[in-house]
Amino acid sequence: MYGPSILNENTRIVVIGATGREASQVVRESEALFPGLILAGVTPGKGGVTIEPEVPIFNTIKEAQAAHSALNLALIYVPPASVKDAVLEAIDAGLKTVFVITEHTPIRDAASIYRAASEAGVKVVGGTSLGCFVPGVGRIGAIGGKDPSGALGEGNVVVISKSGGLTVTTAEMLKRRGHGVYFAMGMGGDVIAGTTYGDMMEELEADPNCSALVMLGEVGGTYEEQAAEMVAAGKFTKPLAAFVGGEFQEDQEGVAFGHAGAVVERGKGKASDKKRLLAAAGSNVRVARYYHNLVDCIEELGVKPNLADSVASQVPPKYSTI
Amino acid sequence: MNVHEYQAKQILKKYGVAVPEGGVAVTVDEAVEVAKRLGGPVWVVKAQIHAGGRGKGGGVKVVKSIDEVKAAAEAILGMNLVTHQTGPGGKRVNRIYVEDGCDIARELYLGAVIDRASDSVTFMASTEGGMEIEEVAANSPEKILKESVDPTVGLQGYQCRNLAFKLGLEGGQIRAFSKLMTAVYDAFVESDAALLEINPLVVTGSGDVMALDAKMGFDSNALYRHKDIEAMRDETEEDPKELEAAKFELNYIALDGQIGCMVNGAGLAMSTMDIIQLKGGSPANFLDVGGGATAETVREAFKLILSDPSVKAILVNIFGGIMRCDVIAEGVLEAAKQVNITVPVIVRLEGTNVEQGRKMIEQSDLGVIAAIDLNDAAEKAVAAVA
Repeated sequence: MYGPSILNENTRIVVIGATGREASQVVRESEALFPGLILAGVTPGKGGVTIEPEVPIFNTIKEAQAAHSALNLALIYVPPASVKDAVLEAIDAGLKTVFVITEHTPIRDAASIYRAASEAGVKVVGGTSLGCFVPGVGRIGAIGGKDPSGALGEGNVVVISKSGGLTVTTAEMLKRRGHGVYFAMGMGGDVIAGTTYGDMMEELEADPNCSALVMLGEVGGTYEEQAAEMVAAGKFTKPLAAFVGGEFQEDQEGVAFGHAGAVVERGKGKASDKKRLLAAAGSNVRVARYYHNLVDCIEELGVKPNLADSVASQVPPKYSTI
Repeated sequence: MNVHEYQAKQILKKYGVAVPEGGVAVTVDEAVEVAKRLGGPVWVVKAQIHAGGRGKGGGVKVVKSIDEVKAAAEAILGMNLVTHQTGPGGKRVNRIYVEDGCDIARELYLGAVIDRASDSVTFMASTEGGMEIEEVAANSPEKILKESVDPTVGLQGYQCRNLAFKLGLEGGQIRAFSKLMTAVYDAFVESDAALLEINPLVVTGSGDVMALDAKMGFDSNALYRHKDIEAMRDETEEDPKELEAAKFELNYIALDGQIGCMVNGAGLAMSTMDIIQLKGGSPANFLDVGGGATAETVREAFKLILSDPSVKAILVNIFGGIMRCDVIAEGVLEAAKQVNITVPVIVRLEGTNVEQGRKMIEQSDLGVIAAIDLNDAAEKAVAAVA
């Protein structure tokens, strides 16, 4: 089975809130890229409709499962007030992975989701996830647009990012220097993220398809610190290049910049502290001073390019520089 | 979203937290009326602004006659209150709160936050009431007591007692504190609070336990289910530029630097501001125009940045496959027509229709400085204000 636990050859997707504008566009685009990955959609009251060319819509997840027993991943596109309900429905239906693309989920709801998922052994990614792309295997969400292969080459580096935009930008920056990705995932910048760097690192350590991890962190919370602890404890020994954004806002106590979770609280969660902790965590870690130094970091750690034919001049001009 | 002290107390009182009686006033006459209703003999007149440290800045006065209430109200209403949290510019006081004075035997601290390591509500308490909790945490961390609440079962009595006894409370105070803490927990969870501080929490001469001050902040994503709290929003406490930005769905935060920034994507915006700072400059604002910006929103964004007099240069950093560069260029040119741009503008554009966008800007008489990448753009912006 090729691909990480969250998206691999066995993944079969049901899209919740599938008939919405953004969701139905993603369904069409994704089906054009990876036909058969999305088996069904759910929008209560719209059962019987079909999203062209051939994704059937059901009223409930259980109805979708009755028609498609292979479903194992729920992709959530419902409005913020309905996210908790949708995720709990997916957990109740026995789906093992949930991606929440929706932004602005209330913190209390995210906490309930996190607890329910942990108890049920379900992996929830997001809220505010951009999705995930595994070259050659599949795509969850809108990551990479109509043609993800333009920005994301195939290889062995894993990109995990709080920022959606920087997930793709980073993969593109790697590609330009000849590094393909095993997968790229947006974990979202909410106060509570369902799946964090640390949650993926144990799996990545054991997965021979992963040669290195590029971590895009941000000011706020403790997820970067947890990742540093895992490295320090010897649980992640592969090359790890990290950037933590938000150093400029060290003195802006209590102000969230762009992402709900990007906030210094009571002096905690500063980007410079996170950078320092990561840099000191182990000899397999390099922390980028500037965002655009990330590829240098990966190469300093001995990771070799795998896309021999990919040089800057061959990457489309829109992705030519950062 | 933050609320004023008197509003936080209203919410807490509804859940059964003991607070002094009081009333809000926007004029001196109203303040006197409230004071007469309360009856005295001691009143406290408190400036209502969204910032701590009001006492030290002269925004809180304890008075003992109606004449003194009047004098205090006259002094505080309309004053420009400067505290360590308002910044050097201070904040104008538009409302005051007049409440019963109270006989303070002890001052304690009680706070609640969502602890991001455990994703649960965590209480912090300290015997050092009246002091900044950050200061206590830095100087004597052993004085900060903590209790984390398991959300599936809620706050338990023993957790309240753990704190009460460690705070040195005794007799009937234990029960009073437990009741107050339970009410605080209920208020915190049910109102989707993100932050709560009672500083000081006082023990009165007669042994009552009471919230003498209160600060609450709420999860703005949950306000849709709390219309009553949403109605407490005081726009005069917010930066007018940020309010204007919100109308155009722009994510703008004012800062005190010199380089105005316009970027698409919060992550890229943060990275852009970091590099400006690391190169020796200082950003004047955070501004994410998002992925779906139109020429109109870009124009408004540009006008907003220019409305800040401390802006000495503007850096536009647009990168990505979705954002159309010709739309960005059109917005910048439209803004230039409406506002006289007197500062250097550094533009770094990458994305769909980039050639068209670049050409539009180059052919204008804006005198825009083109940058080839982020590093180049940041260096040029920093050089422009040096």
